[in-house]
Amino acid sequence: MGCCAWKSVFVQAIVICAIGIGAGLLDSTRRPLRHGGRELPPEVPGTNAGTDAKPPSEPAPKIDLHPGDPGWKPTAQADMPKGQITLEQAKKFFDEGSPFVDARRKEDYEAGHIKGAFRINMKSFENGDPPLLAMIARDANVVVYCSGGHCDESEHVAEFMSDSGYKKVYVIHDGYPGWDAMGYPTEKGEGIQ
Amino acid sequence: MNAEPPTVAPPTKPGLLGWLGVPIRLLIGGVFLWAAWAKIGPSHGPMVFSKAIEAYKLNLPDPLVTLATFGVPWTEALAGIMLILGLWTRAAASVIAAMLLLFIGLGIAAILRGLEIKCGCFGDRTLLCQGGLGWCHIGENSLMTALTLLVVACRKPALALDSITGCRSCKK
Repeated sequence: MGCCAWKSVFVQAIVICAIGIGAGLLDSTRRPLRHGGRELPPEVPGTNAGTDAKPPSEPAPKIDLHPGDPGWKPTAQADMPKGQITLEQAKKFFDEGSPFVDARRKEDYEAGHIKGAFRINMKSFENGDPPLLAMIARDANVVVYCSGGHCDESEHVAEFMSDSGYKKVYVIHDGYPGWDAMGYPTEKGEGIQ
Repeated sequence: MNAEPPTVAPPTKPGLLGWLGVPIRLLIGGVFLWAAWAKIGPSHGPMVFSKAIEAYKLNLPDPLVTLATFGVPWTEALAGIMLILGLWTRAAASVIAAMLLLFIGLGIAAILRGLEIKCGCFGDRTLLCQGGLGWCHIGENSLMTALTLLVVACRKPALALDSITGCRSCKK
């Protein structure tokens, strides 16, 4: 094949990229991104949150042992990013009556969730604030969770809630599996969604 | 004057590679369309993808993160559609192959740096590989790259709009 054909392929490829990037730039003006992560909540009183905790940009450590496995221990505050809380801290919020938000899929939620938790996930925000937010006070300590480990849906939901005016949104680092393994209150069924 | 009129070479039919390229084009084009939709279709898609980009810790300035967040999926979508239709087939396949090679490079660098992150290849969804970014994703992208390069190498794609519009890049 001659050089002209390759030259033609190259020019066409540049045109495709230019149109794609142009369309992307147009799209970005329609729905601007917010960089830098969510606004972090204040420290949980009586804990070391925000002092020796890892910065939020640092990924959560990998959980090799799953909650319930022999030898598994709840993650310590010092080993998790800012804005995330331990199971013990979450239980304290639970005992105080703080609202809990489950960011997992419908089937996971219905198979078992923290007692009284609302199910609000990322899709719930597709058409603006979900109606369930009307049941959660803006100044409440809100606790969000998903499946722990690599799951980051709770962080995304926390970010959406932060954008919606909630300034005290905490994420349970070990998620629902950790909560369940600790034997804390759970329930099954449709719940509040 | 005995000058003969210039002869026009009859169009040659697609070969085996041209026909083999049809399912490959549908598969890769479809995967890229789906990947693009997962990133920019849902309203939360761009936010999830921008977080995935930031997790690679490339220290990109915010405008570049925004450009990548929206530019990559739109380019994927455009190249995917063109690959399926067979319009500028080789160029579209080249763009996709280049993107895949870039993703492979970024993925290997992230794994070697010990980053435990999500691939972000399909927004918050996955194709074959589950869990965090790993060698499975590198293999997945390498397989797609190999298939896409077959399309790049094919000068006469079958069932392609290029054969109707007269493809300059298909000629010798």
